[in-house]
Amino acid sequence: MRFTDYAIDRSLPAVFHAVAGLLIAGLLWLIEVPGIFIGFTLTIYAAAAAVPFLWDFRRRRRYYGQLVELLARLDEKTLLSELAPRPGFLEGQIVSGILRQSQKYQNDAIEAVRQEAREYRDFLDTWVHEIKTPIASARWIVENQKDPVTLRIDDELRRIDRLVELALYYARSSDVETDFRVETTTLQALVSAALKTYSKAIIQAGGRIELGALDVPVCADRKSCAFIIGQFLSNAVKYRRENLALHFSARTGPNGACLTVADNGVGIDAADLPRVFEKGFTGRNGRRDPKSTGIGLYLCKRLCDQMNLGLTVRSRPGGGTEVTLTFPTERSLQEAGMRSALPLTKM
Amino acid sequence: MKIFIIEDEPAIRAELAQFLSKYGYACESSDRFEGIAAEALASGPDLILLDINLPCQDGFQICRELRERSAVPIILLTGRNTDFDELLGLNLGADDFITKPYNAQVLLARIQNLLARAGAAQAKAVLRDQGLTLNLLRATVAYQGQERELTKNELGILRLLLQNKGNIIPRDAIMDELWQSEAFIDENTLNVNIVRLRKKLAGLGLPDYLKTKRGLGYFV
Repeated sequence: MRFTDYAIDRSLPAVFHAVAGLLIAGLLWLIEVPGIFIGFTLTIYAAAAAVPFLWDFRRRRRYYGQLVELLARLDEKTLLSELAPRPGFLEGQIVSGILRQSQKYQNDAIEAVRQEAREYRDFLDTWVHEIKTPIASARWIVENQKDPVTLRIDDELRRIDRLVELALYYARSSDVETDFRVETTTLQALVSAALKTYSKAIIQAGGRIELGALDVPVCADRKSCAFIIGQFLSNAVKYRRENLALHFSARTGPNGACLTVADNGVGIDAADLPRVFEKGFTGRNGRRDPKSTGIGLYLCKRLCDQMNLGLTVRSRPGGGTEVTLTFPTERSLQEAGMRSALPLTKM
Repeated sequence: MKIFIIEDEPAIRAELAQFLSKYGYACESSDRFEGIAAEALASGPDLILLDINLPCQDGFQICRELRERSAVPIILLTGRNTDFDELLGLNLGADDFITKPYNAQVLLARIQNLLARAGAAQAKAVLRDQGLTLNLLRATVAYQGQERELTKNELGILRLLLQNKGNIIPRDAIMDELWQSEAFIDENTLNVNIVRLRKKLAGLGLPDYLKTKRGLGYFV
């Protein structure tokens, strides 16, 4: 609160005081009081008006200053009125009382929404595990009776399975704390798991697999990483040109291991490239394919952030896309000052 | 060779039993889970498949009960996958551990390995058709006293076709079967594998055993 702002706000009483002072001075002058006494009277009057003015300014400035500072420090801004000190002046008390009530209502509403979201997520989690049982049963039926018809049904069952998985990861993505099961594995194992999941889609697209030397040990959550790589494969199949080829290669450096998945598909426009990890962003390729949801890469990025993995995309329109997943070593994470997702005992 | 299946989902139980019966395993199961450990042991199984998530009782509890009374091989099937579950299961005396969703062939291989270690499975790990015998553990095909060794891919192809005798299996399904065993082959490699397999079968005196249905796939 600046003094000038406060003074302007209080200009009406100031004008009244000034007018009253002038009238008093005029009256005293009329009854022929000597000028020096008029001066004294006006000084006393001015002091009597100014002291409460300044005093009021100070207490207000102190109180609102505290409030602003507190607001800046608070993570949950809606808790302000709960934590703010009671003001010592009337208006402040009235406003803070109103604020307290309204923020209580707000906080209750937020908590209810959060609770609902949590329950919804829990339900979805349970539901996904429930739905997996009939999917597994149906796939067992196909396993025992393979023919062209049942195998086509199996393709659809696998698609359902993958979509259900996507829903699960989406529901989990908004959790602040997600559990990861980090274990020692190899890039080969992660790539194999993803390839097995998307096998039919790639085979039917006539895809060719080129595997580099992937026998690189990494510490990672297998399921989540296979899901991420699976999203790359899904995109490669979706945005392919003729003769789909998928090239997997690994590189190890002092800061960790990198897995690069390169396809020879339609590529991504330079203008779209910086936004591919945004939720719901589909870009030019998405407009050509109405089935694009803009969710896959967004989820990948989120998962990577949660697991402290690096994720970068390079692409040229018509020149294919190259996605690189970086698994940092424990030490490089600590040097970067990041909280590690990897339990030290597993190393 | 008898396997007792402890699994609460009836459809999976039935399909699992049907699948294993193709490989010569007799399967038994029950849908009463109270006292199922005793029931399982009473049937005299050679191996027990045990699901962790069960009504009434925890699979771990059943595992402990089984182990207290018998040394029968136990494979745990579970949807949960945490180190703790795995550790607990193995500490309670389970011999192996498979996380759902698992591939049928992987499960079969684990069962065969475990039984082989226990001492007697070799004889049963075969598929037979019209005098032809496919030995899955030794990866050989035999006909009228002659035997040929098969590569991993050839074995996979022949096993898939034999297991679904009479049904046409599309090429993409055959490739998928091989992909599931981590051979990420393309069309050309499949062609080569089929040609070689046919040659081996012809060498055994079965030149037209593996038949082509144009545009659809293969069948035996």
